[in-house]
Amino acid sequence: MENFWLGLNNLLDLQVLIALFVGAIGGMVIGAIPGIGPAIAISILLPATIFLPDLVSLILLLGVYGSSMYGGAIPAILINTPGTPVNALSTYDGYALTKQGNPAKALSIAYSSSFFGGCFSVLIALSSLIAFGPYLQNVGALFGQRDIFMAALLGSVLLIIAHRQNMVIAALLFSFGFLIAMVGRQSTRGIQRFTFDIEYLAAGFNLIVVIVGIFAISQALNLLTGKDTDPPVAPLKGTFFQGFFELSKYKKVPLFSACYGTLMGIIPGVGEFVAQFFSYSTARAFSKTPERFGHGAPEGLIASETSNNSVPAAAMIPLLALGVPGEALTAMMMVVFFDAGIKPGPDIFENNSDFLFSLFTALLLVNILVFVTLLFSTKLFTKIILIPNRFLGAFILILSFIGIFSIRNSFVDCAFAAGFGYLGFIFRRLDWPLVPIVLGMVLGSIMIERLTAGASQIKTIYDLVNRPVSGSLFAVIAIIILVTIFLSLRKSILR
Amino acid sequence: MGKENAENMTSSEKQKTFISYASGPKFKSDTIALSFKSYIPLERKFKIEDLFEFKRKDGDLFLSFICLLFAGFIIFNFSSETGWEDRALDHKRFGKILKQPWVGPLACVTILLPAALLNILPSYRRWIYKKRNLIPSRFFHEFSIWIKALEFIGYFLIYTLSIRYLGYFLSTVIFGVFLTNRLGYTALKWQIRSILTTIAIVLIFRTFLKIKTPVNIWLYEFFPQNTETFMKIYF
Repeated sequence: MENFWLGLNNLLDLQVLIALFVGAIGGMVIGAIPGIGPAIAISILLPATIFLPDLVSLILLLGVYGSSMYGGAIPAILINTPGTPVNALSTYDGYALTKQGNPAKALSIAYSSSFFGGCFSVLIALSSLIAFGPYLQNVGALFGQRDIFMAALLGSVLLIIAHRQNMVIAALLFSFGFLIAMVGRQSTRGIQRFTFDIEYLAAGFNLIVVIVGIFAISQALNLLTGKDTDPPVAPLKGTFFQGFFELSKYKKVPLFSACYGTLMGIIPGVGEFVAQFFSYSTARAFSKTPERFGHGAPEGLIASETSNNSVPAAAMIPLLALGVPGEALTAMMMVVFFDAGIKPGPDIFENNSDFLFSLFTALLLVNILVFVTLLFSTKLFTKIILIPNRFLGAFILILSFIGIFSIRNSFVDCAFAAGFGYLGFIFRRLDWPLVPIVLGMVLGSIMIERLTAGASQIKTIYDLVNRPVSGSLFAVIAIIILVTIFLSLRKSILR
Repeated sequence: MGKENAENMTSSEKQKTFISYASGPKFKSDTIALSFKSYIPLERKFKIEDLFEFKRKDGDLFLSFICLLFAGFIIFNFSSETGWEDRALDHKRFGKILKQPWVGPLACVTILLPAALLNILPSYRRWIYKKRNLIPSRFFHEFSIWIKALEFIGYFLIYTLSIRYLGYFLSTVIFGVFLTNRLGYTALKWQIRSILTTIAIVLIFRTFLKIKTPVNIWLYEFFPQNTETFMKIYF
């Protein structure tokens, strides 16, 4: 409990509070503009955070991460265009409700559900920290290099399997990201890998350069080469306070959706989409009127918004506890952690537990701040969602420059980022997923680093799995792969 | 519908316009259907799997082929670019093998090559399917969009290079206004919005957050000493 108060004390700093406010409101605005989304915003902000104090930069990014999905629901419900990719499911029932003349009701349900989901997972994380914190301080001793290696391997396997429809492409792009991370001088022997005698490549590709290219520049190109849409926005009438009443009408739906979101957030590589899939399917299975799903069912909207908003807090858990990011946004945050000199991993419970309380309490405050703001200023946001896409694209391109150049003062970085951006643009056009590239870079580096660091304790190949944690994780990996193969075979036989 | 017209409309007119837009031509006057419709037709059974459905688009085969070529290129250069030539496999300890520089790249290639091969198969099947069923290919249209994007990459590179001559402030304002015009937003209000946005970007990131931009600016050298220093620090 002492650490909780210490964590709270860390937040009582003017700079931190400003970062919290700017992150929360900024994230909400960014989420509300279709075409930007938190990944692009964080990738642009990432280099700027190098110049800010550690906690301030983390809270700023966390604010953007935790609030963007609130904003993303607004265009999803009002103009049938999700503000962030994870709000896509909200268009099904949210937009249908709008067309029935109930946009304010749909928005209020989305806000209340998001608020419930966001607070639920934060409170679970905070209460777990308070209850188990003293015991978790000894967890660090259980995790060696081989265990973290195995956890990163599990994250990689889950990431690929989570792309159910395009698993092969996910594996291909994951290995591409892994390969990018391998470029440059190897630390132990000093051998240059895949540099082709190009001097620039000796230092390897900077993660931020790749992230800005793959996420920000590619999306800028996507918007610039696309078309503007000018759909009419439904006029909003009434208040936004009725959402909690709807939530209380379907008590079970928000509860199991928040549980799914929290659980799926904890599992690396899985995230919002799978959480929504389970929540929505379960809500429909238990509904008395399943035929209304996709045609304006409040339960559908509750399920999708609750589950996606409970993911951010939970997704921080594998990053903080194991040092293994489960998705692109947490991978980006890992850069800030390293810059702050905080190494995410099991030792964090012993060395920086007050810091953990600061992060989760900040996330709780973000949820409260965003919810209250939305209740009173939604009409303002309806204007923001109509900024033309191509106009936005031009300014994403401008913002990308400062993000890349500030890292190493290098124009070559800008050229490479443009190259990655172009590649990302083609992937986007063909619906190939971009997240595996970034996670391939991050998880690939973690795996190789941990293997190299733990190599002295490995005599035979069996030493990789002869520890309790690494052995258990290996068993989980084996089961997951076998089940996936079995299901794929069964599916192809049934066809 | 123009934005200016939309701004001048009354609330009830907006409601009517919205309903006519949302309902589409089929249910325009059908008030009963109006209460149930959404963009998923009722006669179609709604499956959540549809949201996650992945369809191979035109251009997929081309990119898959490029990926396979890339995998081949990496394997071709694997020996010379990873330290594989100086490998030492005769160690008694497995850990010593893991420390060698080619282990990481080998792990990459082990996934990259089979994935590239497996990926080209469904892509090829899809291409054959479209050909057999005489479904017209839009590959050249897709390819033209890829080429179109290169134009903006070119602008971006020119912008980054211009900064060391004109400075961050001036280059950003010129680039912002140029792109706005190039995209067709030629009205004065868009020009003003563009200038204000670029100024805001410079003020936030360069002046207040002090993020690094090139320092030795050709143009600033012609300014008086005090102005030059001021511009170098803040813009």
